Amino acid sequence: MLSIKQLCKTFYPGTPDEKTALDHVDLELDTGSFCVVIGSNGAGKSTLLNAISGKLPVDGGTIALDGEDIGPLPVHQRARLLARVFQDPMIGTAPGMSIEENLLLAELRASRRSLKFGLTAARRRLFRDRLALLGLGLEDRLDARVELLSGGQRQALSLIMAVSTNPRLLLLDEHTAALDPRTAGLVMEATVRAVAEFGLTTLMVTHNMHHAIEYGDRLIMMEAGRIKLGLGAEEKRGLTVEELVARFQIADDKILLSD
Amino acid sequence: MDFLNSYIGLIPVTMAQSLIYAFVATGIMLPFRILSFPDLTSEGAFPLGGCVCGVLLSIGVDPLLAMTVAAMAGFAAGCTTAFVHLRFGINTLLAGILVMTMLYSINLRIMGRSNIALFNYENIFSNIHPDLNFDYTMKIPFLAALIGIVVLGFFWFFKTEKGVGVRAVGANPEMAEAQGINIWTATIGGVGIASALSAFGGALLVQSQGFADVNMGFGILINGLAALIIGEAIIGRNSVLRQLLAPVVGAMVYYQLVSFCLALGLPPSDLKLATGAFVLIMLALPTLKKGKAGAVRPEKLRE
Repeated sequence: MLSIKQLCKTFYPGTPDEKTALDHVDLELDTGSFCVVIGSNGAGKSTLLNAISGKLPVDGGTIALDGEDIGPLPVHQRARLLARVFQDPMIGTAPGMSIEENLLLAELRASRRSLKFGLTAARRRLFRDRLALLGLGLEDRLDARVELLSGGQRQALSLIMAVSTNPRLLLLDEHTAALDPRTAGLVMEATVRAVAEFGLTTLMVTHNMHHAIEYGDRLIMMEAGRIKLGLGAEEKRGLTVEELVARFQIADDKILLSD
Repeated sequence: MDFLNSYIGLIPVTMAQSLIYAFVATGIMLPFRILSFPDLTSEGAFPLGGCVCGVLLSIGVDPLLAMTVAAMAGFAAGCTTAFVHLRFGINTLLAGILVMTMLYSINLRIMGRSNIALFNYENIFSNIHPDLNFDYTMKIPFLAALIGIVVLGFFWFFKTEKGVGVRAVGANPEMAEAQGINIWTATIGGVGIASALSAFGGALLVQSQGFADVNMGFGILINGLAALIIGEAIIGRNSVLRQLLAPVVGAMVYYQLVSFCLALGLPPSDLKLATGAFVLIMLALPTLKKGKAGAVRPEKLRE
């Protein structure tokens, strides 16, 4: 369970550029729930994810995962508990390394790295099986360098890397935004399958209103660093984009235009 | 064909020397290629290793212990550079220049004077066999075995769980961090080990040539870089093994080239200009090939 209390972050405090990105945010996420976050640019969605992952130090408030306060932990230690897929496919994978080496890195995310040989035959079989689920043919290219893959393939790999260690929290930061519609659909499908299969607690930021309605059992909208409105699974069902817009009184055309 | 004879006569000496410089070239390659951390510390760590080893030998310390201490001193120097970069956000090259400059004074302090003659003391070569000390042809297999152990050691390490993690830090630091890898440990340890190799090379050289000199590091960096680039041109760097062999093979070829040029009559004072021009051309070549309109893609390095 993710429990966020009174989380605050202000950029450039005390200057004319001062900007409140997180304004006393409270958020409780039950284990296994799939929460979608929407909001216009600058609403604080990415700041929230960066604060949870540890990338960004916060000014105040607490973040707890299954009762453990993860606030004091640096990024690499939080990685033991949570996994993240970035918007940019280039960030989530190591380009100069092979597919199997990237998978190995993710495989060991939650454990101590030993001086034992990494890419054992057993692990390679495991990786092949996992990649086969994607249906992209990556399972036959285990030793290919990741820089040779397309953006969509890299993002699919990032997703497999993120979900395979069964993290206690999965953070998806507009992870399909940089992909063409077909690939975006494919990656989204794989996401939903993995989240359901492992029962992952998931926080997904998206600009895509259709995705926001179609996926997840909870929907929240951020505005000016606050969680403005939230919908549960019941209220989400049968929602249309028009209703969603009306409901959230979305004034910002940017959201509407970016689906 | 007088020059040819003098060149051929020098082949064994040059070969033995180049195997020592291979340690430095490897010490330059590791941060540069594996960690994406262009590092200049070796210009200071190399003489540091030589000075520490020289002083210890001159007071009767066992050569093996003297070399170990020299390598540890180099390790500390490399760790300092990496720490300065990580903690204060100072550009890696500047951090290296700072540490290298400070090391010059430290090296002088360690030796107490600008050079020490070591002909009369025990060293690692004379310890193993008295003839080994003077016969360069005999030194070659010994030194080749030493650098071979280093290359194999790294080859093994980079296949382990930890080693793959270290490579990820160079390939994509942000991703590495998100996969639970401590960037500080990997960077400080990696740059430290690289400088330890340079210092070890310095310790070997002072024993081989019979004296330690505080100025022995002058220009070593550009020589090592030239060696690395030649090696990569010959061997390539498409796999971990190739990347590890490149500096060793490169050092062997480069120093033979230098020896050949000197035998041809190139004034030694012009050597730095020639080496620098060579490195520049090799680095510029990929962008020149693309033509003027071709987009220049700078290497991805940490700032």
